[in-house]
Amino acid sequence: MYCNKLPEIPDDRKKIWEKVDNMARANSLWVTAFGTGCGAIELRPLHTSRFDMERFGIAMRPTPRQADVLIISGYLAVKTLKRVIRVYEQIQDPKYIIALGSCTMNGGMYYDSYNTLNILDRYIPVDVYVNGCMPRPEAIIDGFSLLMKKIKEGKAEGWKNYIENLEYYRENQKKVISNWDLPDYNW
Amino acid sequence: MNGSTDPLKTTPLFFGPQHPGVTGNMSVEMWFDGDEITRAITHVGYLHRGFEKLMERRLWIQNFPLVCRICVPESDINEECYALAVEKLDGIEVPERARWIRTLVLELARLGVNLMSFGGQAGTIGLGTGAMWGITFRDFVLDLFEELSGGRIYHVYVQPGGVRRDLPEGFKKSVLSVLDKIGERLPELDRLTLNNAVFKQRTVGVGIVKPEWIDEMGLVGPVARGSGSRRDVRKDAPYEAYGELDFEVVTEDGCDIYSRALVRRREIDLSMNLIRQILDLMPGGPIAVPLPNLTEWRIPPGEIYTRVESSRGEYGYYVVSDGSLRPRRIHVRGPSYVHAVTLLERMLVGANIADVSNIMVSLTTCPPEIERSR
Amino acid sequence: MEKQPQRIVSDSGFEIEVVRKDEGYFHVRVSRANVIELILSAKQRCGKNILQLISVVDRIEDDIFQLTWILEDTADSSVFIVSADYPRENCSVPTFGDIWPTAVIFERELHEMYGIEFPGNPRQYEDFLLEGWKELPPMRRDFDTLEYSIRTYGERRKRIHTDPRKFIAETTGEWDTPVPMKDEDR
Repeated sequence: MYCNKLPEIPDDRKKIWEKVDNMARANSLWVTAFGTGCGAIELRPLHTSRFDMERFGIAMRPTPRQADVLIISGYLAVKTLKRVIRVYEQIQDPKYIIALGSCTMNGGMYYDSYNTLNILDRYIPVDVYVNGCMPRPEAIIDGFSLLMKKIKEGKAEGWKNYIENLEYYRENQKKVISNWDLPDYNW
Repeated sequence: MNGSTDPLKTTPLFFGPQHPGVTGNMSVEMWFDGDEITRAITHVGYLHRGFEKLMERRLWIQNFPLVCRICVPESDINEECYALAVEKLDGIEVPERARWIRTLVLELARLGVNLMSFGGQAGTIGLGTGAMWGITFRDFVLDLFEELSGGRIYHVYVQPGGVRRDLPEGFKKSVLSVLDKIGERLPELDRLTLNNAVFKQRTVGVGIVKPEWIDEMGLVGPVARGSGSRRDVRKDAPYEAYGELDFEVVTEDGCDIYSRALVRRREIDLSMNLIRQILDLMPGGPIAVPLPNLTEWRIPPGEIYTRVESSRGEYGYYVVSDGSLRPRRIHVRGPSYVHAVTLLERMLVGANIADVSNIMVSLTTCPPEIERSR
Repeated sequence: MEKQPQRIVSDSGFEIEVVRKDEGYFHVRVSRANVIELILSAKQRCGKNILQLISVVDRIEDDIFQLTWILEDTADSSVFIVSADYPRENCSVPTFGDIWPTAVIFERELHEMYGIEFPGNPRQYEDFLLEGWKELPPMRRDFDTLEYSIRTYGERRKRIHTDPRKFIAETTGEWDTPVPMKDEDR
């Protein structure tokens, strides 16, 4: 059912090509259609005609297999975290995560809730945080342009970080997900 | 619910939570035989934040930023319903002008949601243009909210005893211009959806809600009104200024997705009509009564159940106070509760897989209000 | 003319405390032995009653759960509310799932959130909102959600500075560090 082998980090042999690749990657960010929280409501104006994010090469994709970016739109409940891990690991490398809202940074207004995570980047690697509750479409576009800048400079390395420190992330994930039944790495 | 899950005859399939056709973050587990669903189970809880627990830990006034997040597309309904409960428990009289401003805000929110869900109905069957237009029209309404309260989605505009601030200067003119702009383009949206052969073939006779289910399961809102019911809290138990407005309850008796879409389409017209009436009749006067020191605000012990009509149906708040600084219990009854769990599980049996997201959008299920924690 | 629920209450003959009475709103409190009889007679004699909500208030100081059934008459949209007290230990409440299918879901959630048993409800042990929950049922008053949150998810990052510019500069690191405005620029 699954491939349990860990993905390999590409070696540094292709350093120059990596730069060229990054230019291309930055200009076609495809987003998984997974509205994990309330921020998803502002993604609709963003990908329709009013704010039209396709002019930046950003498009919504129905499956993680076709996408590069996962947007964590707001607070993450524990039950969703499990699905988010699956979706994230299924995205092909390189992959990036944008987290929206104050509640992904430090819990926000749900800091004392028994079912939402307080600090998201302990569980999955976040490349760009967009603050606000909820972030306006302009702010999300700004977050995307920051991500593009990071990718072009070769600094959006959350996905490499995730594979290198998989044990750390797995330990944290297993701490909150009490009925852990995911494989080592599900492709 | 008692359909077959025989592994030799049926195939299990998870629909959602990561799926572009699902409304919000929820999932439906289905078993199907060929193309026909034999059994469906709704799974919710992906958005559970434990609101009702958190509300017991906050001051009465601190709950206003929390309650509006229970329903993301239409946040004012929750503020209004909670404010009504607090006012009834504490015996606060709301000034005349504040009541009318609240009614205006509620109708604007309803207009926005109905535009989005009516367009979204077209979007689920591949008519993407309808979804684009619906969401863009809603954005004009959000601009009005921004002018009024400073926020696009969460307004925290209603407060106990009135509203947070007065209408800005020239607000009437900008509302009317937005209504004109939307009203001008709506016939085009009609041509694209209601009069479109593809839309009709995918919706007429699909997703039947039988009229006898309305009383059995307690269906409300456009789902019930699309099956011939005349229930509407705005008419049956008028709150705020609805008693003084002149309108008829929208109802259709086709029982299918098409008639629910038609109800939403006519609700858009109704909301635009009501907004024009409200702007004409808007009285002057104060917009709020002064409140006591909010950090020391105790509400006398008591229990109350308040209801308002949202775009998806009847919304209820059961609020219990024990005379302390914080509420003892707030229980939210969202309309999606029944629609997304009991009704959807029953409706999907016998439906085709291709119609699942179509049916879900026609119920406009809103997962956050199911899982705000009881 | 007297409204239907009020007539049922006056006909019933058992002890009833009226909590709140209003136009189209009637809230009564009865002893737990009479709950089923009262709700069933409301259902049968008022015709189109639907169950809107089953709610629980945890009155931990009296060691009781107060259960509340909210019924609504679809004909005139009036609300009839019945409350009753149940002991908190091993709380077991009759199910209405065979009369209203929606009650199955309400009771399933109450079982998860309060640990109340509803004997006869076929789906009460299914997970509803939580997944693999092992602690006390979270909506009970003695469950401390802040303590649980800190224990499980860690303490939230707090602002060290009250000056937002310093805070942003510290948290974002070298990335887009905002240059503080000089006084002459203002």
